[in-house]
Amino acid sequence: MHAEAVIRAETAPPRPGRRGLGQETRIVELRGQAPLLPRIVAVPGTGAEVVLVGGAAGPLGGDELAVRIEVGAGARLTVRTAAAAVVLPGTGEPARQRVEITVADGGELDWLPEPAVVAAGARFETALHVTLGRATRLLLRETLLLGRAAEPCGDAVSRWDIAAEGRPLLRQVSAYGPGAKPGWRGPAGTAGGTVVATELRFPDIPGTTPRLPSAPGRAVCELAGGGLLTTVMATDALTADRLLRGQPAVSRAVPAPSPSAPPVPLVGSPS
Amino acid sequence: MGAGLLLLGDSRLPAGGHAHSGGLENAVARGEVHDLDTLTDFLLGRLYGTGAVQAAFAACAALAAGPYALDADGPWGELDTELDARTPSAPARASSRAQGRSLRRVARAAWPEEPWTALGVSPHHAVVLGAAASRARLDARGAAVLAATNTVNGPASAAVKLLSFDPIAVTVVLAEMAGHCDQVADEAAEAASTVMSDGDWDRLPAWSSPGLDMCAELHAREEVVHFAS
Repeated sequence: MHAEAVIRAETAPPRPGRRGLGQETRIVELRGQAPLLPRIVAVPGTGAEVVLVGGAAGPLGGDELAVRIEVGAGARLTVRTAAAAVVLPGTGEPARQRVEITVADGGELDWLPEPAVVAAGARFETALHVTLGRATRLLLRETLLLGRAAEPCGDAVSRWDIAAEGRPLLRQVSAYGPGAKPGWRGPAGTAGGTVVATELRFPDIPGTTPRLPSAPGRAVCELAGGGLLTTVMATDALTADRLLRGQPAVSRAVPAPSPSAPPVPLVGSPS
Repeated sequence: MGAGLLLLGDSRLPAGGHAHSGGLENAVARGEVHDLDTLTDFLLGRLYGTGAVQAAFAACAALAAGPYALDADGPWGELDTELDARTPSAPARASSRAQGRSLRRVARAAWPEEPWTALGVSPHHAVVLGAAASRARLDARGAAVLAATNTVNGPASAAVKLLSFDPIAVTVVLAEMAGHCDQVADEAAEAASTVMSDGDWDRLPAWSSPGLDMCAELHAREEVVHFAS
């Protein structure tokens, strides 16, 4: 299946009765095809929000999916997905997804997709290309679960290419799963983790957001170009989520070498 | 490939490499590396992650330096920015630059007529290594071999000190690693020659090493450490 979704947001003068709130963001282009169906969600404030609703199962091997998000000067947009995606083997080819993001000067974007679960035997290749103008704000998140519960890992290759004002900010290719290079799951790789979540905040303005310290299972890195990259590695999605949000872990992020590691409780402590 | 490889690959080269464990000290402190199997896994991940990136940048620098004299107008600024974008951890960048400065001091003494300052105020280690390799009559692949082996040799000798491993047993691990280093160097040299001819910097390897980023960040928070990184 080949599908493309396009979401374009621009600023517009406030509507009557909403003056005083400043420039409003309007969605000026919105199209897609199954399984990428974009829907506008009403949100308070002057920003806009779009949710991509999965209109079909998958992605399946052989699928080629593309999402293009354009945020105009000064516009504020959040794009989410409605549910986790489960990548299934399909034709045996990789399922490919490409997300192309442009944020013009002064624009703000949150790209917050739900996790992608890569089933055993499936291959997922995802590429995220971001071009930022001047004085932009960006929040990106990606969560990859290698394999469904109690099954072997699927293969995932994730590429992030992010440039701000014409300079590369982050270039990173991560490969996980049985098809990845040796040592991918070792102490230099995911440190035993089969769930990897990555978050980028740009710019990183000290004091505006509570900054988590690095900890076992969580690397918090200040990029040379001025963003904050957080990568968490865990053996289950609940722990990964807690590590990313800075809530106390209910289990060790990585199994201890000793067999006495506490089991993961079925019910977490209240958040 | 001649004596230059042995010169720059020699652990006795006074370029400060012995002060760095490449994240191993923290992995040992957290119990992630505790025997030869976990050390092998650490080294493989390091080699195919950051090692592949360092090898490609060393190969690029060797090509940029040119065969006859160090080219002061080479793409040194681009190499610096692109390697920064592939090194998310600030302590890892600092360690790369510290080792770059130390190696440049040695290279400047060995080849004083070359314009070493063109590489930048505080160049990354892989870039200096590649430029020095070209001065030592190595080609891009030679530079890549140096950088690839460098990413595993340092942590391996640190493992001998930190975990009191039998040095012969660790050498056996490194011998197994040699074929992998060659493979990484082949791919790095090929990528470098493509990129240096067409200027598409995004095609240079950018493999992540999330575990190493974590080691680097956690190591930098420790008050008492044996190694600088």
